Amino acid sequence: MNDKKIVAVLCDHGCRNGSKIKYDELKTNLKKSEVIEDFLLVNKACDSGVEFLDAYKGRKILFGGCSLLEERGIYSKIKERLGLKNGEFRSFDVKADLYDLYPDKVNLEELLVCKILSMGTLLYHAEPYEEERIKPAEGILVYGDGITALRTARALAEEDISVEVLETGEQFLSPGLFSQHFGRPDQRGLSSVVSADERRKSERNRVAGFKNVRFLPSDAFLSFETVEDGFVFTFKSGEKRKFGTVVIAPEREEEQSRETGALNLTDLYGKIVCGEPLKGEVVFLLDYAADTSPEVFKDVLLAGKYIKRRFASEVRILMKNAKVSVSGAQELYDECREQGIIFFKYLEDLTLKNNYGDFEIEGTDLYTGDKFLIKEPDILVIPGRSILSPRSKNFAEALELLTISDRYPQPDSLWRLPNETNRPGVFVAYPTGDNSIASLLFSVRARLSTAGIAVNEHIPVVDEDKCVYCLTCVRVCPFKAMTTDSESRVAKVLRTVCQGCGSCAAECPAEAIQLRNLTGESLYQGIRALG
Amino acid sequence: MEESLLIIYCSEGGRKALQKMSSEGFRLPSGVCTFELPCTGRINDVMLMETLQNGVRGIFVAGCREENCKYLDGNKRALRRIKRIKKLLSDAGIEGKHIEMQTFGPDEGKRLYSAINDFAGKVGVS
Repeated sequence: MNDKKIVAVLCDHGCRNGSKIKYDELKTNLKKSEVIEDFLLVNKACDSGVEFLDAYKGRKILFGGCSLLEERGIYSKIKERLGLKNGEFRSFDVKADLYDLYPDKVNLEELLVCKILSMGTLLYHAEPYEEERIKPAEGILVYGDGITALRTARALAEEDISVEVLETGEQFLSPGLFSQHFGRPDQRGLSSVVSADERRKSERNRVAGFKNVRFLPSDAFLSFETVEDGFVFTFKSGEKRKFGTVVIAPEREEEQSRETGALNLTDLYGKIVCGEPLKGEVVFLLDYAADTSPEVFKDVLLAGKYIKRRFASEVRILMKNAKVSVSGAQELYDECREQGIIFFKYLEDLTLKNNYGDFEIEGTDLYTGDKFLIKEPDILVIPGRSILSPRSKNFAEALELLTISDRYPQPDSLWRLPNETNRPGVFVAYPTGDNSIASLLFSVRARLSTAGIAVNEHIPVVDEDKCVYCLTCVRVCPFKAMTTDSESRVAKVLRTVCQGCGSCAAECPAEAIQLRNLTGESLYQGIRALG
Repeated sequence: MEESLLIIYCSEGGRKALQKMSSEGFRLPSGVCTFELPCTGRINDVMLMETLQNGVRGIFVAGCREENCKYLDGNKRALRRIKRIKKLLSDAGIEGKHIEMQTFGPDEGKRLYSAINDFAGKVGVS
């Protein structure tokens, strides 16, 4: 352990106007602790220089300020000036995480002492470390032979990126998705309707014309393993190839819903293209059988906006979990609200009654808590499920991608872009038009151009003497960052894959795993210091 | 830490809900301390037991809403673990009510506020 003591600095400007914190008392209380060497108070740290810290070179610094300091880069200035390594500096937002949480009359000195001691303890136990960056390997593999896979390959090839396309060889095609086959609702035109198969063939010829695209024969891949900078695929020919980035391009199929009397999105697009009037009350029911993907939600918003504008219908969108995480969807959502489309966010209790095509929807709104009842809407649209084609499903399972109940990759998560998966380096090209390919390209380019993937501060460190090779960590890791070393019989961490959540450290029965700079011992002491 | 309550929150959804709560004008009861973890999935038995042993009246864990965990299923693991610890505690003759975990979306400041207050009332911290 390193015995450098902590210098705690607190900025006191504007965070709490007219505060009457007794700093002398604070200082004496803090100095009683073993970990705090000194306590400084700065006024307006965001404007003053960082020179006042020069006297404290060689100590660890704990800085409490507001978010402005982070924005103005004061923290990085301090780190640079004092030559602090990672693990020797820590900051906390004293305004958002402390002052704002408590009522005015509370004893702030006591709370501040607790907070500083707790954070200080964590910092005291932290070991300095050099930041590592690992560059992903170069190759890109696109899996799939539908129109989405081909378009993705072409978009990459046009940017002078070498691509290899691994075909599934099963010609599984979506029966007819509007945005692929007709264009967007407001740029429609029946003349542009070309059959899906023809589109695919012409696209394949175009893609094959690129020099930097190589088609791998279907069913050629045998096994793969994850390494720190990508994936090593073994092919049936015995060839081994390393790819830093994998794009999986599923096709989408919608369930036929004609029997029920409700429309799916494809049916609705068909009606729009044929110019059928969509008047009266139009209701979209999302997240009903399975969660709606963000890309589909965007399509629904587009269609809803079009119907509202063109036919002045009453449009209602019922949703539960749909997210606006696709680029442009938030603006579209706001626009829809402005135009008078009504959104309901329903709770679990939604019931849908179908009386020979006359629907009755009953549920409770999350925000108002009111019950709503929609009776016999003129048109009810339930976007169908989206599924992976059987081979893509196997491929996704081999890569250990998380799939939702209907086998479409990824349960939605607010924190991830829609084309990202739980395995860093594996992306999904959604079969929903050019938008999704553009956002995919953005992610892929970001991965290719990075100077290397930074290794998370809190990566797990495995104590090889304690590890009993029970593989609990391998099972619990949500990102599949834990692998095994069968020779030495200990668990191994793939440093680029780990995101530092600590699930493995919490579950390890032998307590052999500790997170870097967040060890169990320091956590216990940090919590204890709150007392 | 006598008569106090500890809130352990994750640095994603839990933290955002807490900040939303303060921005909506709700304040924590006094005698409540907060502690941040990268993910609620880091919580383990020893941590909670030790904290209770040190005299904290109650531990409230605030994680991300299900399906929205940045680390995919850290919150679900924590929920399961806490369920187990509650059972262990009640087997040992201590009521399980001293530990509770709930999940919150970043916009659910008000619900977090009422959940914390309910919990504080249950364990007898005002």
